[in-house]
Amino acid sequence: MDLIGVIMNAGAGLSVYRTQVATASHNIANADTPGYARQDAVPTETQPAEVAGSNAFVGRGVTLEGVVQSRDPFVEAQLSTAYSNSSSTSAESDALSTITALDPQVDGSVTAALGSFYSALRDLNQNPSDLGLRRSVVDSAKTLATAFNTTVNSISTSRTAIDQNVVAVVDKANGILASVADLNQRIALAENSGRTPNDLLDVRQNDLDQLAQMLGARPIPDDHGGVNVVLPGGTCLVSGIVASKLGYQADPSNSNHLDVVFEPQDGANPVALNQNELGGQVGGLLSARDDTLGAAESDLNNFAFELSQNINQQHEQGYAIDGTDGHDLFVQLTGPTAAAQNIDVDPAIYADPSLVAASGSMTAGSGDAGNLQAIIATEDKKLSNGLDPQESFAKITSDFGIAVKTVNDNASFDKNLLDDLTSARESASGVSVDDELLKLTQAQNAYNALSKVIVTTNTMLDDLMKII
Amino acid sequence: MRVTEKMIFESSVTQTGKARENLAEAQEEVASGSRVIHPGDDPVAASLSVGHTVDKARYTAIGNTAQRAADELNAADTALDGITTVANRAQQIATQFGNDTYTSTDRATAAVEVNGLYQQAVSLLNTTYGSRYIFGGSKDNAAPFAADGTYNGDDEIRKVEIAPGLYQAASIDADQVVKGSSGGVDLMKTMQDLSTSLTANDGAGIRQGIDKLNTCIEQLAAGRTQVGMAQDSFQSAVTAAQAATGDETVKIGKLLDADIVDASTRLASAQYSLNATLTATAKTLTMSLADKLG
Repeated sequence: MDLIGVIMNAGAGLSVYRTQVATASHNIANADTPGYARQDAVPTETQPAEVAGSNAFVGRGVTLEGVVQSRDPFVEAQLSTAYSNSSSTSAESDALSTITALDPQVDGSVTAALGSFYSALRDLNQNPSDLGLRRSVVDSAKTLATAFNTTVNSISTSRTAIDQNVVAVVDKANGILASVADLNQRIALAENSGRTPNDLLDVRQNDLDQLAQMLGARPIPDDHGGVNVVLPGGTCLVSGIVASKLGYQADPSNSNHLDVVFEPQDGANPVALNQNELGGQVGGLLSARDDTLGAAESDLNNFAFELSQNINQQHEQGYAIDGTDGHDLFVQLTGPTAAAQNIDVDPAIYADPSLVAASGSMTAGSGDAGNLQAIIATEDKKLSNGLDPQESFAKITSDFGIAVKTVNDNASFDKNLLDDLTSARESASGVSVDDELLKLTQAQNAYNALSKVIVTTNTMLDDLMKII
Repeated sequence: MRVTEKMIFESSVTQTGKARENLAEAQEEVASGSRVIHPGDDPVAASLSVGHTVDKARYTAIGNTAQRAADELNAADTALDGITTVANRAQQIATQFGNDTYTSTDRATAAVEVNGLYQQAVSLLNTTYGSRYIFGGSKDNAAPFAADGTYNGDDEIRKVEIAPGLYQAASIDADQVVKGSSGGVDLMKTMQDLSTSLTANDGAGIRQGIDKLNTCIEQLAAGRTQVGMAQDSFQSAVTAAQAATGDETVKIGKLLDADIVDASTRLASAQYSLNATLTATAKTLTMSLADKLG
């Protein structure tokens, strides 16, 4: 090999180490960038050259094999599901933890109102002609109705707030779906031209992580560098370079709460997606809205309806203080639907507590409490669920509590699992500034040494020129 | 495991967050005194507390109404005692003035006292407790006994709960006490007759009143016995209801209240843990190769 060749080889080496310095710099700059995977400039030795007139081979320096990403496929394969599960249970847990209306010791609870209502009836039973005690019964009935209203409103308001969250998440997810389709195209173009677009891959991976968190969507790679995105129920949202959209529409069978719908590319009618066809944040939010809160709202409505029916039916059997027939103590409800929202004290009785039908006989005096004792007995009357009123509300509290505890425990478990996996990803793909500084130093030393090689070889050339 | 700066930062954030969360939970428990704030904290305790809370209200109401019934019966007993005194005095007058040594003038004077006693009896039979006439049965908003002794009330016995679903008579049939059941003697008529006999200077008529008034006094005594027994029941109910209320309060406390010693210990532990986490984080974050390289 001639001296010029040595200088050329050293020059090529300088280029490799410049690239290593640039890569380390890029890594350090992106140490905190979400989705970024550490890159390595991988050097490789150049094919040796045969020395003329001998069988010896002499090395020709170093060249750059490529700049590659550090990713662990085993960890990456698990992260999508972990993101989906953790986001789902966290979103559900957060949504449920805002409900305080069923707290055991909250002011204005149905529990306290139920106790106060029957206490007022007992007080009146002792002296039914006392108008003050009658007012107390009517007021406590109003308090009970208000407790139902407040409790169910708290739940239905949360359900409506969840609708708004779902809309926000779906809108954001649509943007990311379009971004993934666009990145699929750009990545395919780059790879077709023989380059590895590491940074585009990072951006797409970050998008895929977000889609797993938002929708529980998982990536399915194709053979051309692209990634398809599929919902847990199998609905394909991104196919190669084509992205579909999700939308939402009111569901009349579910109090007009919003369904998430798949909007086909061909303009066909949107298809409503079941809750189990979605995961991530949206799946968790829908589960909180329709399973736990939906059940609590429905149970409260049934409870309010049946309790008011039982009390009304007995109240109608009695007589007011003036001997007139008793009518409903609570307004007549048409059915369980929205019963807890609509329950209220009959306006006529609220205005005139003497209409409370305490008496069991038309001819009895104002001190007769025959019907009151029967009304008090509704406290232990079983409802259609086989439970008395206090047991019914205890069950609503218990069902809600168990659901919250279960989802909280799951959220904690899923979060720990996700933390472990993100740590594993960070360990495999993350940037250690210390490592990069060492690589910088290493590349700097190699660069210095190669510079010396060039200077030395150049001196040798000068010496040779002097001879000539 | 390869550890990057980001892992250290994220671990610090997670660990500090957990330590702060534990601290906040312990603080809330100590400050509120409650172990179960939300149903999810302990679904079983939250559910059981519903029943105990309603039961507590039930026993409190039973205790209160039983006490009011006992107070009202006490007023009834006082009134019956007064009427018995009236009947005894009327009997004394009948015994004294049944003796024919008394002149018509003496008996006329005695008649005036009997008339006064009669009015006193009417007044006692129209006793009110609060705003209610306690001897009128269910017709408790008007005086049950007219000036002529006619009973305008009814025979309903009012009932008040002494235990869940168990009712005890809280009034007496005053008409029956005053007039007696079959074969009984009407106190009011007997006193009217005594007055008439005294005015008419009718010795035989006056003497008839002695035995009749004796029967009336026995009827009143029977009425007072009923009242006394009911009072005992209600006093027992008050005691039992107070005990049951206390019992329910203890049950609710056991279910929902924080164990302050345990909660305080956890609070101290959480404070120590947070302090240690912050110290470790601060020390770890200061270490970087960048500071060592010239």
